[in-house]
This record gives sequence, C-alpha cells and structure tokens, in this order.
Amino acid sequence: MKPAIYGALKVVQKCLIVSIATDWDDELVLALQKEALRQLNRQNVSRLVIDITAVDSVDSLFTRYICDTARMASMLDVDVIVAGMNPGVAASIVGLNLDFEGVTCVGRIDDALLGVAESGAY
Amino acid sequence: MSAVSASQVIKVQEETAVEVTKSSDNAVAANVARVLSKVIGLAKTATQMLMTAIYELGTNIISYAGKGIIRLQIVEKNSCRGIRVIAEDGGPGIEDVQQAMVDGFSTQQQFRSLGLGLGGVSRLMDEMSICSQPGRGTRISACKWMN
Ligand SMILES: Nc1ncnc2c1ncn2[C@@H]1O[C@H](COP(=O)(O)OP(=O)(O)O)[C@@H](O)[C@H]1O
Ligand SMILES: [Mg+2]
Repeated sequence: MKPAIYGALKVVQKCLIVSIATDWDDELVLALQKEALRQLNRQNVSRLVIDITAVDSVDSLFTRYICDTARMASMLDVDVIVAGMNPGVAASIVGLNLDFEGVTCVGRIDDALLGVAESGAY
Repeated sequence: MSAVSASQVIKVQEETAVEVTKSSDNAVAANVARVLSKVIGLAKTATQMLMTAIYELGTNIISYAGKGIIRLQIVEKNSCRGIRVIAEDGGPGIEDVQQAMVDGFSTQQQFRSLGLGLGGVSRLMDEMSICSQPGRGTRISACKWMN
C-alpha cells in the first residue's frame, strides 16, 4: 500500500499535488488525506492540488473526504484546487445533492499550477 | 386490459452477481456495471451515475447488513435496453422506507454518515424500488435506461 500512496503525492512549484487513483477505496483516500496534511505542515507549500483526473466514479463518502481535506487545508492557510473533474463525476456529485462549495475547481491539472503565490509560504 | 401489459415486462438478458462484504467489493460491482454498460452502449455520464448508485447501495449493505449481493443485469423493456442493479441483503431491514429516502436521514450517527445514499440512488437512476422487511432484509432494485 505505501508505495502507491507516496507515489501519488509530489511537490511542484510550491504546490503539493495529490493524485487519486482510478481504483481508489476508502483506505487509500483516508491515507492520502493524512499524508497530505502531514506534508503541508512540513514543506514550503502554498497550494494543495487535489488531482481527480483519473477518478471516474465517486460516492458520498469520497466526496466528503475530499471536502474535509480541502477545508482542513484552507484552515492551514493553503489554497485548495480540485483539478480534472469530468462531467460524469460532476453529475454524480450533484445527484448525491453534494458539492465542493468554496473549493476552486479547474479542468486541467496544468491550470491548477498557474499563479501560485510566491510569498506567504516560508 | 390486464393490469400489467406485456410491454411492461422486463426481460433479463444477462446477469452477474457480486458478493459484497467490504469497500473494495463496491469497486468490483461498479466495474462489472461499467463493462455491461459498454456492452449496451450506455453513455459515459449515465454509466458513471450508475456506478455511484452502486457504491451507495454497496456501502449500505456493508454498514447495515454486513454482507449481501449486488446483481447487475442487462435488461430490456419495450425494446429499450438498460442496466438494472439489485442490492439484496438479509440484514435488519429498513423500518420506515419513506423516511430512509429523505436526504439527511441516517441511523448511523457515529460515522457522520450523510444520509444521502438512497435519495442519491433515486436521482442518479431512472427507476428505483425498495422492498424491506424489518428483521428479514432489504432488496433495492434500480434501473438506468438508454436515453
Ligand atoms: N441495506 C440496508 N439495510 C438496513 N437499513 C438500511 C439499508 N440501506 C439503508 N438503510 C437505512 O436507511 C438510512 C438511509 O440510508 P442512506 O440514504 O444511504 O444514508 P446513510 O447510509 O448515510 O445513513 C440508513 O441510515 C439506514 O437506516
Ligand atoms: Mg448510505
């Protein structure tokens, strides 16, 4: 389990990118959440990018874990961007009567790296 | 006219059953649904909504009954094809089905469960029916039709 988790987290230009695998399960998402928060605390990071490009099916628990992670990161003064949501995932989240309220979403992971604050994180 | 005309009969063309006891079994069932959806040419977004419904039904089986079965079928009605999901368990059953369907209603407070699963399934799928007997179990059937 560990290599998969560590492989899915990397820091690029002050952004911590967390990529969630297609075949995620609750354990993986919770492990990523925990590791992301640990890294935010240690590294010189001003933005957390949650990359869901590979994800094509979600449920209410998954959506809640992502929202929780985003909320925790913003309390730590880190911007949060969810990248790569596809239309079917958006339709599923709306069908569940949920949303990513207050979280910026971008279509492509590259766009998530634009305009990262150079100041603020030391 | 008879109460149920022949055109309303749902014919089952193919079925795969998945035993569900843990979170990763939901992913197995959802993947079977993905394959069956491809066979009939169901649109991608519709397939993804179907998969989400399966996750919710599977999670309920695991949380409330411990184990159960998810049957995935290619079905036909009025020469329209679709995918039917049947989630069955021999668990405690649902006391008040109408209440259980209401968004936000949950009997599982300790895990901050959102109570959006059953309402979600009804919105994500085209048809849904619940049969539940307290103390005996639950059978939830839901269809996603082409177009
Ligand atoms: N298979 C089942 N067996 C017994 N009770 C169930 C089952 N599925 C759902 N329920 C009941 O219906 C309620 C609502 O379910 P759901 O909408 O999925 O929300 P949640 O699972 O978050 O509570 C549950 O809290 C539970 O009491
Ligand atoms: Mg549920």
